Amino acid sequence: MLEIFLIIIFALIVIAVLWAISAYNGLVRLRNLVQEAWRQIDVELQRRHDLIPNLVETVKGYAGHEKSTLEEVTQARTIAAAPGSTPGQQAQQENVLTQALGRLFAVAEAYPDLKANQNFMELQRELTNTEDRVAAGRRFYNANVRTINTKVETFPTSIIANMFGFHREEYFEVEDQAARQAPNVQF
Amino acid sequence: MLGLGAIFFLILLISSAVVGVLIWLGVVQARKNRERRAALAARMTAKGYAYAPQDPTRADLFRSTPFGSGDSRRATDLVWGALNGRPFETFAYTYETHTTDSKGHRQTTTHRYQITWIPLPAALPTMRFTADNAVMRLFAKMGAKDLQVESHEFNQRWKVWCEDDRTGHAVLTPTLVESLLAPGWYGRGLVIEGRLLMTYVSGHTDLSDLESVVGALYQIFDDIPAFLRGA
Repeated sequence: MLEIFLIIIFALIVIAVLWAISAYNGLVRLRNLVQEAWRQIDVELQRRHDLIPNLVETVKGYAGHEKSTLEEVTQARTIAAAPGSTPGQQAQQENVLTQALGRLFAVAEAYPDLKANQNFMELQRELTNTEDRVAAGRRFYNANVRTINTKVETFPTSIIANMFGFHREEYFEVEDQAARQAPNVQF
Repeated sequence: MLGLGAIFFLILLISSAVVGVLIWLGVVQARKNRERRAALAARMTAKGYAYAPQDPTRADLFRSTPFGSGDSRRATDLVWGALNGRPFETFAYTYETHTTDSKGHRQTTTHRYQITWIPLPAALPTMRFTADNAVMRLFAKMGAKDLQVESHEFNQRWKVWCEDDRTGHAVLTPTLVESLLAPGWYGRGLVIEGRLLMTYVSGHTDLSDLESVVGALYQIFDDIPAFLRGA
């Protein structure tokens, strides 16, 4: 009788250990996925930041006296491009840059020659394209953050997460113009 | 009492009558089909679309559900053309599955779907949107892949599978998510496969909703980010 009891206890311990290993490995995989997704966003943001000096130079050629707007964009770009920010900090910096760019494009509206400039149009198109890529990367990153945060906070994986120092990851939440555009659904 | 010859004659008469009725039913059905097809062809050509009664190559156009199952696969009543200058094609797809009961009786079930598809300018990884339900959610809990987005309503309504999660999330823009919550998508499935975007619905339709289905497909097309479409 005691033997059977010991076998059951042993089997339960083996199952618990196997589950703990699987939960730990799952959390490590997710953490790596979150980090990889963040690096991908970083690449796209870098691409966005690299486009801005050219854009500023092009606008300067037509609207050089709009100094404060141009400086605002340059300054916001310098802060956003500085390395070492957390996703939360980066999101704030990107929002400031987006607002500054919005003002720059509003200024461009008053200069028909600038609006018709081939280089300006190409840069604008490239910027939109890059922002779409950032938005796509952000959705993938946030989906992985959501998954790891759920695992870190829900029982029983929270036990393993607490034991091995897994913590909530930060979402990357920027102002998404596309998200605010309601589609014209007629289906 | 009837003689043996009379019994034989009676059986022959009944058999002939049954065969006759069956042939007559077949002829009536064939005539009805011919008339329905002629009416459909006339209606579609009047709208400027092309019509073909069947095309065997279309029966294996996709790998995803509902394609690839059963046998006797047929693609009939093909209609194609352009809506606002954008191409589309639709056809009735049929296949059969068979079951055998404990007594050895073979039963055949015919599955019917209406397929509508549009071309994509660039190939994308396969992505399937199917109606979510309790069974699907149970599978998802057991580890089956289901891409989740920031809309609870969307997550409840659709099960999304994609070959590549990164591309899947890139495709699932907020506007696309919003589009797929439209009432017209109830009961439909959506598939992205290579350079094709396809929707299917159970049963064959009279194509009265063709323009709105094609319009909804192009709405999805427009919601896919330009960099993925190769634009």
